[in-house]
Amino acid sequence: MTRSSGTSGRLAAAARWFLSKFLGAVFVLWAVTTLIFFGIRMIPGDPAEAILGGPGSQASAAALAQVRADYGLDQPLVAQYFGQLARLVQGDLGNSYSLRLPVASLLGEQLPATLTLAVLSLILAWVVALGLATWSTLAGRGASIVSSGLEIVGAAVPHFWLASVLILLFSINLGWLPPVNTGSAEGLILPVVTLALPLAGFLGQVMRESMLNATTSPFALSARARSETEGGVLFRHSLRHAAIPGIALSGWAFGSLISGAVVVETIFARPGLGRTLLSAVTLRDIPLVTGVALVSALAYVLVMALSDVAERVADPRVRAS
Amino acid sequence: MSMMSKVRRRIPGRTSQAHRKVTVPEMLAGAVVLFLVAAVAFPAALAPFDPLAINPADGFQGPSLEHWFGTDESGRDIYSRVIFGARPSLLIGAVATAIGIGLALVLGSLAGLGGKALDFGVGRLLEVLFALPGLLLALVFIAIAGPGVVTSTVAVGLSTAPGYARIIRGQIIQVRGSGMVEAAVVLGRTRWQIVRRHLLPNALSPVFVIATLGLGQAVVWASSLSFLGLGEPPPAAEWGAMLAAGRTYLTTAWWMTFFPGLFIVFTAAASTVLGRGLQRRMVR
Amino acid sequence: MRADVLLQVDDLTVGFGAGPVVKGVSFSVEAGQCLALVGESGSGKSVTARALMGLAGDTAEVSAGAMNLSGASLKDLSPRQWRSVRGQEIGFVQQDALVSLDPLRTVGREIDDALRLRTKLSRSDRQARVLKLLNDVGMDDPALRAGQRSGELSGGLRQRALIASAVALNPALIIADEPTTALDATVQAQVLELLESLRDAGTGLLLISHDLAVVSRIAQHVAVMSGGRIVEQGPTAAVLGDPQHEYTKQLLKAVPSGHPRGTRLSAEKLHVRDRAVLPKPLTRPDSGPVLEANNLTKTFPTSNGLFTAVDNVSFTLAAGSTLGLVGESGSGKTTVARMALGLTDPDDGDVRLFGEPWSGISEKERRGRRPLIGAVYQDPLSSFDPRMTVEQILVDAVSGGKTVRAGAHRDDVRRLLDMVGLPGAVASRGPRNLSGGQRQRVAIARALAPEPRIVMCDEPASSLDVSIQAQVLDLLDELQRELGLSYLFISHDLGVVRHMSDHVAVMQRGRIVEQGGSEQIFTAPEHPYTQRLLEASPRLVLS
Repeated sequence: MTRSSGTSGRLAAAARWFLSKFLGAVFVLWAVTTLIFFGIRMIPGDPAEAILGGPGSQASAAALAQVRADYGLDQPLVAQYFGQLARLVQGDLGNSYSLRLPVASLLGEQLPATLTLAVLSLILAWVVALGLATWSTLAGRGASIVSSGLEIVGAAVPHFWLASVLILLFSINLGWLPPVNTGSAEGLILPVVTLALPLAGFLGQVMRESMLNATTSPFALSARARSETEGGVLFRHSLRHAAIPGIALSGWAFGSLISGAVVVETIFARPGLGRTLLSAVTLRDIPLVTGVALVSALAYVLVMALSDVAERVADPRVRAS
Repeated sequence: MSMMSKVRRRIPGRTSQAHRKVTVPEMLAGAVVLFLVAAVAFPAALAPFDPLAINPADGFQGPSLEHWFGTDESGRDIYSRVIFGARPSLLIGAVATAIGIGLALVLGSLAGLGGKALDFGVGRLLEVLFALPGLLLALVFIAIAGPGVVTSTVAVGLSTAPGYARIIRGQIIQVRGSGMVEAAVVLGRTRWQIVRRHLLPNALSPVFVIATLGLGQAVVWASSLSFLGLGEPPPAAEWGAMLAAGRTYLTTAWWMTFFPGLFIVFTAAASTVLGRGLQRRMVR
Repeated sequence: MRADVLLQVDDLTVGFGAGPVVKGVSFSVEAGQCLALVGESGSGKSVTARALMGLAGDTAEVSAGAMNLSGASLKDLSPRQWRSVRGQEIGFVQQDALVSLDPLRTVGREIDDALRLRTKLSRSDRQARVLKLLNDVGMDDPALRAGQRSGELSGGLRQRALIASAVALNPALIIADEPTTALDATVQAQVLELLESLRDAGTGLLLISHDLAVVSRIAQHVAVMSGGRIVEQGPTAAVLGDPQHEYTKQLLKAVPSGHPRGTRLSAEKLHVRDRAVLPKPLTRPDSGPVLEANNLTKTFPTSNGLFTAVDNVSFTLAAGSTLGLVGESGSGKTTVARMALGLTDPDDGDVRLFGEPWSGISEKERRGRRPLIGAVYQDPLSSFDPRMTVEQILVDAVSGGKTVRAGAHRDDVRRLLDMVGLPGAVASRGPRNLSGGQRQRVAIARALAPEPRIVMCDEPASSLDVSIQAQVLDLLDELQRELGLSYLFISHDLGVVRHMSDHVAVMQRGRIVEQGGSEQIFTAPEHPYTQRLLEASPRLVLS
């Protein structure tokens, strides 16, 4: 019953929506920076020593003083904090402790690989999930046993284990695919499958449920009473109903893929944000950790906004409310 | 099909009985849980070898009748190590789940019961935590606090907390707006009486289900951190540590990661199946 | 068999494994006539309707002596043959088009589906047909409506769209399963008119309904179903005017409209005084008004500014009487009820309980006087804590929310259950395991536990079958007499309000447009809206 209140009203609403998303993103980035900045200061230990390789490195007093000056660690805490925020606003993420390179350019090199991996996995997961949902709705018992089996796999199988099994099977036993990154497109297959399968199990479960609800709903009965075939009910009605929760969950799914990329990139020796983060965590390279955290938080916020928009496009009921 | 479900619903008791029937996966999950409980309680009775005894001459043996799951680089029996590993691994999972749910209870209750300002504040905090999904939050925490079994356990608890908190908050808000709370107000109940008698018991009843489902996830995440070399270091007989040790030999001695991983999969699958079963029975 | 018999059904039986749900029913529908299948939930009427379209489900076992449509048999059709019947020979209209039309697709596409599947019309021809169909069912702006989805249309409009999709291929027979249930009276009247005009144009109509008033208005023939059988059938006037079967008599008696206040609707013998130990005599002599509302106004913020839900509403509830508050959905009845219960404060105006302020005071001040006013809701299940048994619910209500030892107040629980006509065995059960009528009785018992003087009843019987509704209304009536209660009785159903109320206030868009004595309002309404409402409200008319 809601009527659009003219183009200007819609424009204003869109602007409000955009502004609130933008402010939300800025807040999230500020909060992540702040939490890490003060979190690291609450832990005992000398940051300068950490930069030079930890307490075991036995760095000289002169070297420590030099590092403190270089990284501004000799300044008061508040000045350091606002200094970092000010640099951040200008897009300067600082220098990596371990690689002695600007974090921003490091991340710029690593980001495309991870995005490729995540996007391909998301697409594959969607295709498999929709296929599973459709199959189990049409084919009945056998199909639903397979799909519920895969749902449990989605919830229970760690990426590292799935990756190991896939490598054993397809690289070592069959020799079809390379076990580690070769830079070729072939090398992408196993990582993408590793990330996509558990996600497909999860999405498939949600889609299967809403597809089943749609095929047994009053509107499906109406359609059948209009002489619609079972296939017609599925493709003209149920499929869209199944896709909607999938769309709503895709933001979250993207986040879980970024998280899974840490393990998968490490196993398959692929470049990317995940592997960068792991080495930064292992070396306690705080500027690099902060940088990865900020980039992935930003990506997550953007993807969430995108999935929000997609959901509005796909579901008129969301638009109305 | 719609007709069928409609007719079924008219026969009282039938649906609920159908939902109470124990399914085959649930029986298998129960068997897994029994085995794990036995491994936690009496590992020595199930394991043929000392999990820590080194025998370099027997190193890197594949699965055989003597060593069911093979041996590692120092000739230790993987099967025995997996059995002895159940106790520390499940403990890590349980503690992480407890930390996650504990934090979530505090945050969720604050948001659900504490008024608009607190709800807003908690909501923003959760948004920030959600922006570092899954292992990322755990990794950032470990970057700050340093690696090790304690920090990785806390890290897993921390990264599962936002999800639980959102469920608990939603549950509280749903019950808060329900007819039963209004009916209690009309009967003259005080706010505290309503919170104690209706809100908390109804909002928190799914926590048990969440914990069952979450235990599997916690075990998986903790083992992922160990696999990445951030948890318990080898040669401890803990599943994660065994994975970390096996990672180097992934292509040559696959059994070193496969079997500990398989037990993680069994544990997580059992907890998922049982959790879903509980969930289904509670909805009806 | 006469020539114009459209649908002939002989000895139709439908089962789902565990015994038949429809047991050998026979009936016929003629062209241009309406047969109504009447019955309460579980009587098998909907299953019968679906079996006629081959849509009873995969697990259904359908058998019949004969099942002929326009002379052709519907028995043992292949799926493909069934599809050529559906839409083309039989159109199907369900209740509530909000879910009976795909909420993700436009109304135009839903109607177009039938044309696309079964005609060879071009896209533009189909488009024109869709607009014409929408126009024919009385849509104001077909081009606009064709592009909207069911969620964007009002209840009446979307029901019309659903009918348009069912008649797109000009079927000879329309099966309408509760086509007007859950619609407001005025909208219901419009939809019935539409179905009537289709019938008059020569379409056969098989109407499935629980509502005898609707049936009496539109059907020439009635078949009364109970427990899967047709217990009585014949011309409408004969069956409803001079019922032969006991069940039909009971059903007719249960309809509240036309039965003056104070007459019993149900057959059940109910004498509170005979069975129950009555609560203490009144501690407060009720004289004069027990509840007053003065110039109540309540607004809510929406995206398009403030929405005035209640606008300058005043009324007085006299001791021991019932004030009926009647209006269609969205008229502000429930907001008034919430203010009367002290759950929402009015923006303007005040509520007084026994002459003392009841609005604009703190909950703490209100709490002491809360026992004076109880409430019974439309959906009792959601007002119960699902973790509690009936006994715990009642003990909680009696004990004032204090924690008591197990087994305390057992006598009170028994007395309360007895008072509402429930057996003591119900006490140990959860509300989910009770029937709708039993649940509402438990809700009444809970409302009466603190010995209130006023009970606010918000649609207390609206979601119940007629015969159960009759029992609940009788119970409320009897309790009022015995306990000297005052009721604020809210309903959309004019028949129910008339039967229950001494005074009536009619609400429209937040205002009370007319109030006065019940008989006066119902026999000589002054306000045009009241007149329209009465006109539209379905009554048992036996010509």
